[in-house]
Amino acid sequence: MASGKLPFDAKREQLAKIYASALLAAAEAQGVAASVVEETESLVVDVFDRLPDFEDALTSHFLDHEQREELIDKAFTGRASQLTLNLLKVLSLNERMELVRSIARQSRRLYDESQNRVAVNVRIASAASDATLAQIRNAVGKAFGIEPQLDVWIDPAILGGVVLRIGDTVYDGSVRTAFEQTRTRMLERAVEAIEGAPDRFLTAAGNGPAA
Amino acid sequence: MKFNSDEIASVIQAQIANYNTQLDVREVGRVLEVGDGIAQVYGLSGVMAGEMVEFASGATGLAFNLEENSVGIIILGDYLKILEGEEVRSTGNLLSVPVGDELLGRVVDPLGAPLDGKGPVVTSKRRPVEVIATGVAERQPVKEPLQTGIKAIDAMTPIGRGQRELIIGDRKTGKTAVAVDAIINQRHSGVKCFYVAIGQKESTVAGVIEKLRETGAMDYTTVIVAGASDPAPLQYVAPYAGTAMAEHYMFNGGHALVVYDDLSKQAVAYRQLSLLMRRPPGREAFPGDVFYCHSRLLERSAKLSAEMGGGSITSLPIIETLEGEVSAYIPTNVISITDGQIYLEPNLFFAGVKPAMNAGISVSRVGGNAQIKAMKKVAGGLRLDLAAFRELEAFAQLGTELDPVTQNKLDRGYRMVELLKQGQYKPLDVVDEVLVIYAGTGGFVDTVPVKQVQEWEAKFLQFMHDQKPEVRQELADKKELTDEIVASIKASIAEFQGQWDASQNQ
Repeated sequence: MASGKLPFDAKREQLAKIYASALLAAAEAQGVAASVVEETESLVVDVFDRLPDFEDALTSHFLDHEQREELIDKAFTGRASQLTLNLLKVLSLNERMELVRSIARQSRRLYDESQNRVAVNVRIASAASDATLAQIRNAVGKAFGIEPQLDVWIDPAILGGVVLRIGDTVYDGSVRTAFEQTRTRMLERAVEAIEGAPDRFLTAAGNGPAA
Repeated sequence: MKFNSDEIASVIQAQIANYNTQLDVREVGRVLEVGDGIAQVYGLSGVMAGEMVEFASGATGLAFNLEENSVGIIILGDYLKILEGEEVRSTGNLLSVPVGDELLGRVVDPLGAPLDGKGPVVTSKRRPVEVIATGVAERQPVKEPLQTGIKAIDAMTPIGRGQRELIIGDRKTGKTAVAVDAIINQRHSGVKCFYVAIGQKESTVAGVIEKLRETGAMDYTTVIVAGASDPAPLQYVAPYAGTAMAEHYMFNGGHALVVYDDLSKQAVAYRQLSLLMRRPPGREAFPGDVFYCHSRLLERSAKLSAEMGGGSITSLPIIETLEGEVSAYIPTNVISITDGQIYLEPNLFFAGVKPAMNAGISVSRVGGNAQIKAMKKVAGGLRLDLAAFRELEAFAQLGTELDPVTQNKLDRGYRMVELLKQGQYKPLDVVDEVLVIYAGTGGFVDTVPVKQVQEWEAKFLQFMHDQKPEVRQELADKKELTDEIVASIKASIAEFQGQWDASQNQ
């Protein structure tokens, strides 16, 4: 199985986050954070995705560190920055080659966060115009003091309105949730009212309904 | 009575008029993996330990393990509908169950959802399932009796309100029977009862419920069921849920009796959860905090101080031992937590001694203060007499010639054992218990052949009910054996003995 298809693993992401923050710290010291992040992403998209056999070879445990190092040197010397090259060698030394994709993902996230750019998951009921999206972007940016990176999903099930997810927090302004809330609230209030003063809702039998 | 639809319409109208939407803000995570009643969730970074979470498919769960990368959730309910990647939201609430009089007579699951097909439990009152037990200042010593209606127990290992008395024994030794009799005997005492069935066959539980219904005990009893086929998380929370329902009465000045049947199965469910959550196993593969699991549960049984209303929760935890092994991990834990134990032995059970209580190693550490004076007086020497009898009995089996004093002691012992035998579902009034034990320890039964002792007892009690109600009444009022009462009891026994002898000579 190619590494790219590894299932999501919380522990691996955590580990990748540590490598990513180390990589970013080293890159920032040299003032090349943005380019290093781009380079690791390009490594995944332009190399690993196009040459799955190469990724398999790099992540294979049949090769030892020296063989992998040779492979890395041959493939990337002169084509990648020294930092990226070193990252790959360190990963090879530590037998962590399968982390490359996660590190690319995590370093992008960490770098964006450091630039105050935060991924915002936007769910809307139907496709929206660019103007509407820009409006959402401005509103979210203003409300949270961030530079939102919108990731738009079309989900007709929410009926209308908008659902935002920033980190682990969901701000649900969808029509569907509003309906659901209203329904439970109406039930609760009605039950409360009936339990509180049952006589108000009853008329004595035989007298017919109250006028 | 008819419903007034106009009023209902006006309530809805008011709601529509005051309608305003609120943005629903929630913290979410995603299910990484799910199975065996637990789920690993990524996200939920702000969730608290023990917080209730909701799965998008409707199930509820409890945050059980807070790890660096993920949150371990135990799922209360059907985990088969939960999918990988599903959204999980935190609620900011602790798990709670409905409480109140509406639950009496009902059979519910550990979340308070009805299982008896009698419609929803309509109550707005709820209590958190896990609370910290009341502290020292809010308590007072156990001093009020809780009569189980079982002669042997009320005399030798008396239980007081607020006490935790363990019922321990091998399988099929009558542990549940003792607890059920104690529940049935609360008919007129006003004590509300909670029977928590954990990990048992549903058919067994149905049998208990049927018996409670037949005897009228369901009127004041709630049965909380987490059966053997229910997922481990439900079995784990069931005793806490039952206690929460009982606490409603305790904190309102009432009295409650909780039976946990049984805590060994709860410990096994907790072990299952902990191992699935990869918590390190300890002795017998139980997690390190299995002691805390039981101690924090049983500490919630208390007798509250007068300022707090003086309410109480008495608990009867049940532990099943394997081959009489009381020194296993869970039995020693629970023995050390509780205020005494009733030890039921298979040997006695098969010899026809029911309840099969071993008087030698059964104790009640605090219940003595709660006994009524009359019972204290008659039962004083009973335990020692019985222990001495068991010792002599071993000698007698050797077939040696015995001196008359020893023989008398033995004869008395045989008769006391007969007197303490009691049928199932036949709890006795404390006055009757005192009369019977007085007759036994006073030597009034010595002339009755051993095989006829139980018949003698039944007829004697009938005689006291029918012909000497004033003696019973006086004893019930004064609750102690004054010289006059003793004299009238003696006279009554003499009178009955005359009738008995006459009937035997016919």
